[in-house]
Amino acid sequence: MSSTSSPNGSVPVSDRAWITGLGVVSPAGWTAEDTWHRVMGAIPCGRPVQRFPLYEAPAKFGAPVPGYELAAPADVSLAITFAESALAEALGEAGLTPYVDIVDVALVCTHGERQLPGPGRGPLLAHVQDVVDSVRKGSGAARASSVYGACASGALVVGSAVKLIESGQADVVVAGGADSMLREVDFFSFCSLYAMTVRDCEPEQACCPFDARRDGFLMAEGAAFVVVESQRHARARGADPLAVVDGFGSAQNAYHSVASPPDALGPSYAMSRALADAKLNPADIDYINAHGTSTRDNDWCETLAIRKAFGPAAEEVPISSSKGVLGHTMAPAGTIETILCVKALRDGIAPPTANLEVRDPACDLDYIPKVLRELPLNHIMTNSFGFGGHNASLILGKVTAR
Amino acid sequence: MTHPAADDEVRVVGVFGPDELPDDLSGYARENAHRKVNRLLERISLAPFVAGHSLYRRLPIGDPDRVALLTVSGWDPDTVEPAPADGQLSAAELSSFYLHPKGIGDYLQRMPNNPICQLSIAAGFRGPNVHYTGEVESLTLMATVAACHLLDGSADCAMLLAFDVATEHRHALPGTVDSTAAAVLLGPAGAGAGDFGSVSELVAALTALPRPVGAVAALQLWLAGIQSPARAR
Repeated sequence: MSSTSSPNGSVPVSDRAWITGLGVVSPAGWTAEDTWHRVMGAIPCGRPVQRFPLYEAPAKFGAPVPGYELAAPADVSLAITFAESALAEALGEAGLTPYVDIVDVALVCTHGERQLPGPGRGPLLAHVQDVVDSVRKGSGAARASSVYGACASGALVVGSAVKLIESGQADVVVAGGADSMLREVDFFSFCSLYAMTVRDCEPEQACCPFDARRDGFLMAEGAAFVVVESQRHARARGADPLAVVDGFGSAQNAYHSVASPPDALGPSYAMSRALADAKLNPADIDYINAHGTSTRDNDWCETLAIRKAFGPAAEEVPISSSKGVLGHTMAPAGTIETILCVKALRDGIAPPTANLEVRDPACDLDYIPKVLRELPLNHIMTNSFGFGGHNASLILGKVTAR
Repeated sequence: MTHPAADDEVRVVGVFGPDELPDDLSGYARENAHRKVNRLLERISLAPFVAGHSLYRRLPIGDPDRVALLTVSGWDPDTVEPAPADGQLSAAELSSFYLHPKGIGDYLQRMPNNPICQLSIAAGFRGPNVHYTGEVESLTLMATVAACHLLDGSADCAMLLAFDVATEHRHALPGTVDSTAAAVLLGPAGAGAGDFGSVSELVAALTALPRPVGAVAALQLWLAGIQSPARAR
């Protein structure tokens, strides 16, 4: 806990949570700007998996981080490599120097990392705690933990950071995650769950959120971190806010380990709670960055959930998914998409959904196809949903006055 | 999104210690959850399922749609691999092993959020929910986040559910060892249940514990402290 936090672990202080730094490693590149520009341009990162033989796997495509298209090291955790890079970018943008400036807490989401077992080695390249330890070391954080909600983790980790700031338990939190599941064990395991795309098409076209031809997600990898800071602390050190986190909501499906709920209650509750937390009306949301995985069930369920949470305003709000470009980076996806929303607020641009060509009657909201839209953006919602029934929504706002 | 936090607004209104777990965990689960849940409740998930289910059955505060459920555990599992008896398998054989698992639930049971998922299905919990991997430090952070869910109005009550395996089994596969579990329920002051102090007092007590200590052990130490004669309320 920093010296400005409340004494004796009490929970009396409230403060707004600003984002003051961000960093991304994704299939689009090694910086947040690389990723934003590729998403804006709707240039998909899907390509044939060449890192390992696919044997009889039905899925053939993935989205690796540049530099690791053809091979992944057998003795190095890519998740940790990516985490270190994204963390350094985020801290650098925030103007924070590890071990010089105080970072109160590091919150990290990851699935750990696995590879095929070989002579003298098991399948584990990194446990969850190994990734957490690397981020704690890289940030100098006084406290650290892993926050997990499967593919909703990346939003849950940011939301948890915001709550720690609001409670006065922390002034500076680095929050984000890293995964490299584009390795044999996880790739084949997800094949067995029938979750990934097996489309017979060009690899760049395989992931097509909200399109009638969609059949599964595209496995990707990467890392992302944001620096979440109390407004008071940021002001005191002269840091510029990139965005404010206006609201956070999460909810459980209470329905099934992997299947989307037919009533869409869980994701609609997450969105409604985020709106209530932000004290905003649905019509105040200028753009939604959807979870939009390109699986059959997620995309119609998310459509239904938006209608339930937004009511008539659902028909008006522009929506897109960045996974048509980046694929699904798994745990850090929600943090990457949070960062894309920060960029969208800055530039007044709602990015498009790559490969959205054939409209699905079950996904009939204003999904932005293929070409970006310039819009006045003041409040953006981003959704993340995960296996195990997790749903998380964040609302990001433009900081208009200091 | 800020909220006027008040130190004593959120109270610990119920506790369930590891010593309250029944001997027959799977029997309890069979009686209180349908087959869809039971087939995914492996050995490690059973104790947190039973602890959480029992505590809420004892103290059914608020609407299940608005019950927050946060879990924490030091369990950080390995990945299943072919048995040594299978000898030196080729890459093709290893790939086939992962592509064609014996049970579709293998992967899901290895996810540390399995207790959240199964307990939520059985009890109808649709509040905020998340899992933390770690020890008392993670439990302390989690308690703070849980209290915020009550203060910001997104939950009627919040369950903190800790489960742990023996330290030497920290990386065990899900079906191979048993766990133990403890749970506390946070609610608004005057919820009509018990009162074991404010969440701020809980956080302060956990912060003061010597490290390292697992989340379940930390809750046991806290419970022992508040149940001592000098602290009796």
